[in-house]
Amino acid sequence: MTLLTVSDLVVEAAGQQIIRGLSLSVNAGERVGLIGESGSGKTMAALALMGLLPEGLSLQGSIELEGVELTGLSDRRYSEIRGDRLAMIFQEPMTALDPLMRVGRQIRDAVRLHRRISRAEASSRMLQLLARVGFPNPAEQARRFPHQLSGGQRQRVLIAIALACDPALILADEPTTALDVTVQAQVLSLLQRLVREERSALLLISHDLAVVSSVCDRILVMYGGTVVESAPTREILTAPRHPYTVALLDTSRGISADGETAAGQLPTIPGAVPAWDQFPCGCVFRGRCPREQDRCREVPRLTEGEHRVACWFPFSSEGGGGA
Amino acid sequence: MPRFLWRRLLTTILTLLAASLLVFVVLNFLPGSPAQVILGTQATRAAVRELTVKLGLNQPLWMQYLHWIGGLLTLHLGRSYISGQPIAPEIGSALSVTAPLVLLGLLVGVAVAMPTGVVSALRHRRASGTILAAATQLGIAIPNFVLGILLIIVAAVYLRLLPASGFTPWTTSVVGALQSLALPAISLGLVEGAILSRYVRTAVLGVLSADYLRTARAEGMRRHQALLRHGMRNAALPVITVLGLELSGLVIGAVVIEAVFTLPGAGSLLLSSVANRDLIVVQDLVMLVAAVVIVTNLLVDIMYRVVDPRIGLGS
Repeated sequence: MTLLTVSDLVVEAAGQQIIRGLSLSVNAGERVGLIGESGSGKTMAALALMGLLPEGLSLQGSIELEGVELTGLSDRRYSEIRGDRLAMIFQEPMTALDPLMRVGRQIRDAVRLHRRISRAEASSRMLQLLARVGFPNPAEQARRFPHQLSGGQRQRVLIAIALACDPALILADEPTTALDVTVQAQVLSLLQRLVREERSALLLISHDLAVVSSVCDRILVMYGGTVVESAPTREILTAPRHPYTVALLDTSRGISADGETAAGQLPTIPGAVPAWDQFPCGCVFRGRCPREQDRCREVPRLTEGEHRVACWFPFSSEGGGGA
Repeated sequence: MPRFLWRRLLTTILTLLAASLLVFVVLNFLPGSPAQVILGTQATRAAVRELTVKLGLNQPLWMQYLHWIGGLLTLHLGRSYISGQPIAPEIGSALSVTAPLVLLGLLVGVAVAMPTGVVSALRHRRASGTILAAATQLGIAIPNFVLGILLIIVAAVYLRLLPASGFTPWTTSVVGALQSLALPAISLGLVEGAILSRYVRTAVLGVLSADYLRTARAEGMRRHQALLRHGMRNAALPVITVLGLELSGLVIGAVVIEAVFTLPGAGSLLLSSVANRDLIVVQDLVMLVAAVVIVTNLLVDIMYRVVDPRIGLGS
């Protein structure tokens, strides 16, 4: 069952497109990864879904969650959905909590926003949530202020806030990027376990292929504000079709376990991601792509099917990938 | 009591002592003897000597200092050199004008600063916010005595709404006293309010772009809900600090405003005492102002720690 359908989403700032025609869908309970370099528009896409775009940005296209069209909703109606059906975990746990308020109260507030329950009931739900995100002594943790917690602990509090009202879909924007490497794995496996137990769907946004492929059933590759390829995780890893995906995989594959590289150099994608207002017309990867031809001046559409690719000259689907 | 409070109280007392020493030393090293001033240039040496002894001015300085401090602590302020009247009631009646004036000024300032600061921050991308911010800039640029004179011309001379000068004592009529304080308090408060408004605007702007506000919005709070729940306390932190500084500014501004409106307050008393070389009254008043500033700082410090758990009371 399709939970979220985004079609032809366009976000504009001062007449320039930051997100150009983003389409994606997430099924109920599915874990989908959205991967891309910095500047590819991942965070902007998440904020657009939440209806929390910064002032001055305009939005076109359609976002449908559980059959409800979200674009054009009044802030009042959108606020009823935010946090209730659709929750978000942000990248910066250090600043995402109110520094002047005890964490327990912040979680309890999130519970009470969408549930007509007493303070006492909300408190017991809050303690339950704290226990679920792995705090051994919830009552004690609830009385702490954010500055008394570590980064990993704060991110777990934010996960508890996101889970507060059993959302159908959780957006997680680089939830582990700001954390220590040792804590990253813990938080990630916690997130994975919880969405499975709660039967929520997860849209995990990251630049880290390893993170996304360890958690997600399906991966969307984003470049220049649009999805260039979408396929089950295994297929993306073994049989990528879009030249950008192939290049992205090569950068992580070219390094052997001891850090040596074949050519003695770190593999990179030639060129750099253009500034958001400097993308070429036609295919967004034009100019960095080794397979570019004249036809790439036209915008390629995403193909239909399980393995979708937006490219005029994709690699063959028979595992021809990195050749 | 938490350790922080003990330590902070101790430093406050030490600061007060240091301030009193400074005030005493500076005023006592001014050239010229009060006895000479009181008796005039025609007085005989013997008469001056006699008065000097009578006033206790021949005692060693440290004795005079201890005598003065002891008097302050027990509220036995002695008699004026000039009028011979007891000082305590004189300062008391002056404070019955100045203290309400300063507090009313603070009230006007806060009443002006909060809405204008918040609104100009919330609408900072729109014309209305920019105009409001520009208006507060104008408010900062106008000295309070100019505003006071303008208010006298408009509200007192043309409209005849409020008295232009003088003071109706509280004991005669509370309404009358408030009426005579209205214009001075407004001219004091508007200018301080304009300054405070800029700080409120900056604080609210900072909160608006804070990550925790975005978290609150993602939980499903409306913007005003999020601002009330998470924005106010966070924005209050810098404003509290400025408010403390403003109170000192108001006390100093009151000296000028009392002269404009001929109010018999502490400012007027200070000016006339300086002119008359009524050294001991000057000394008491300057010490009083210093004490107000120092104690305000103490209160701001405590308040800051009550609001912000990151600093904490160190209990």
